[in-house]
Amino acid sequence: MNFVISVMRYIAPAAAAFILLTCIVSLFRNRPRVHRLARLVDEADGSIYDITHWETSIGKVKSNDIILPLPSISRFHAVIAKRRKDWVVFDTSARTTGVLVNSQKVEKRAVIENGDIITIGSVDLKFECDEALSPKSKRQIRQQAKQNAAPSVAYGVLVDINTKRPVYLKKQDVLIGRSNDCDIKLASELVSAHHARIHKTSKGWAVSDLDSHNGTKLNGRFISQPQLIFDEDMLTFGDKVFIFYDK
Amino acid sequence: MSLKRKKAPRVKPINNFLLLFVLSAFQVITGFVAAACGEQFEAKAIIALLCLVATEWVYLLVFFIFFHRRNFELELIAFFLSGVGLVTIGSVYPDSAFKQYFMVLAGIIAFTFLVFLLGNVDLCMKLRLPAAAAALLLLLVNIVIARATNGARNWITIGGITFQPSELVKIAFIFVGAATLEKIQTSKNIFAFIGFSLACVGSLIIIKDFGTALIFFVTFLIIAFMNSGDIKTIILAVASAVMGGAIVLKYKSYVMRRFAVYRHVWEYPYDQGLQQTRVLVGIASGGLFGVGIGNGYVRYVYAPVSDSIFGVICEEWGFIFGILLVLSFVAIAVSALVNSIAARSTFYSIAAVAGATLLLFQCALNIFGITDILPLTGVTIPFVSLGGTSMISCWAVLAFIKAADVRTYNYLGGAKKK
Repeated sequence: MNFVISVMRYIAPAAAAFILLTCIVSLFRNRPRVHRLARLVDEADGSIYDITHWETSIGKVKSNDIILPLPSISRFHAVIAKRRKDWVVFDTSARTTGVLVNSQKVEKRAVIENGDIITIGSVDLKFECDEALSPKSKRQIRQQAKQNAAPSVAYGVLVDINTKRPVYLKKQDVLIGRSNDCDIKLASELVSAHHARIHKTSKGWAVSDLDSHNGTKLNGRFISQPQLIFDEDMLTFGDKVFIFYDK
Repeated sequence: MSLKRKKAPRVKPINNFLLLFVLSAFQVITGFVAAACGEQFEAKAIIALLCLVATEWVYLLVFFIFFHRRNFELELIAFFLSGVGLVTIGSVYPDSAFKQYFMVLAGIIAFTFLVFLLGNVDLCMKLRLPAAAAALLLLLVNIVIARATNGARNWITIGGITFQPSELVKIAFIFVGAATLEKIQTSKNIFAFIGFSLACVGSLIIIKDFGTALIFFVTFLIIAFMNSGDIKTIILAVASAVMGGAIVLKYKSYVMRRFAVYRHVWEYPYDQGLQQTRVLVGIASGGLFGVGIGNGYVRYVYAPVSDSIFGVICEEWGFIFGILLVLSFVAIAVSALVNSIAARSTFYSIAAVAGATLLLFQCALNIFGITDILPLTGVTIPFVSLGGTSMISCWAVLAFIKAADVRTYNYLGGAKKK
């Protein structure tokens, strides 16, 4: 018994240190990173405001994330937030002018999508986020993809957001990139030669990044490990944005 | 403008199973030593510990396989702390080991439930008012029916079950204090939360639980600062609290008596200073690697597994181990800070930072109290000390920190490579 205790007194701190240090290193190296999620472009002078957080406030006073010091804007005027699936704008101004989205008055909250014009006081801001699509547009894209007589062998479909052109997944393991041996070739400077792969697992479809230079985003977030993807998920390879539909 | 992004460093994900295996081995061996340290072999201590190890594996497997979670660092740290506490309690009071295990289990269940609840911010925002009402009701019940234990009236007994309402109020306090950004900007009434905080701290002072009142106050400061972003308000709050405290000390001399022994423990080594002096001697005699489980003397002093548990661990497991224990709280706190920057909502940021402050401050209050750096207030070390309600509340507070990490709700999960 004494022998066990005499050995244990050195092993116990060592094991504890191992467990804790591994956890601490992992907590810090795998921590979520701040990156640009979307941006607002001032329609009048073209100035750009980056949105880097899930919730961003706009108003006149200094404690806002985006400061617009104009008399037509209230102290805390609006909040732009990324919720689970959609981007939402909240009117927090308590003014009758409030917030307009595409010239429509916002009642408390409204879902916004890429290219919407948000009017805050007298300022028109264009919301730019490739991954932001309202549920309505998602339905439209799905209908279009269905109309374009789908090949019967496709397992799933990726629809380019900008061109609305569907790309069908004809294999259960699809390589995506710029080089010629890829199953889905993307002609873009920002896409790596072998960028990502989408493959079927026992749990469903999954996407993994192949150490690409500009990263792969799933619903607007960079992925660092393989992740499952589901119907209507947004996938970004470099600057190419796709919406995924399961068949 | 270049669109090229600076590359995030690519890290090999940690092997959760290997880590939990090492942790289980560590816990089983220490548990065995703890069971064998007395005159006869105490099976209760080792069985309770084996139950904990089994619970850990069930938790890991369920969330790995069915919920596709890949990040278990916070839970592993909490498992580690709970295990250390359980081993120490098992070696001192083998009969309490099972009770402590069931409280850890209840804590894990509360943690799991809260992590799921916190996934829905909109629902949480609606539940704030009922939570505040429930908290105030609990405190009111406490003031009316509590009986005095060790000077503080913070225990109530309902149907044979004894619990500390102030511990449960901690969870509600953070829950009510946190808010989403649009709520912070539209809310006209900043006095609602201040009033709620005053009611909480006030009722804790009425029941003479000063340690917990101090914890609430520090948490309130953090929440107020995160809500307003204004350091001037905080200075104002601290100044008024110090003045209020001074007035209380002047007119209520019995409060002063509690602090009389502070910085003078060596003048009363056999009565009021007994705990602190024995712990200080114990830490010194333990040295870097300790005297071995069961060989210490701090365990025979008053309250060895609640107030003085840090002394018992430092003496028997070694000073290095004590430092590691403190380090794990610092790790939880700093991880809450870095996670809150990229959290999904200010609700999560505020809740995580407030929760981390609460855990770290409570730990500091205990360790500094028992080593006579601060007055002894009788608060427990989160996760480690013997306690029912406090164990549940610690796990619940950990859920706030877990929820701030965006990877927690990666419900899309990490799929297995073929």
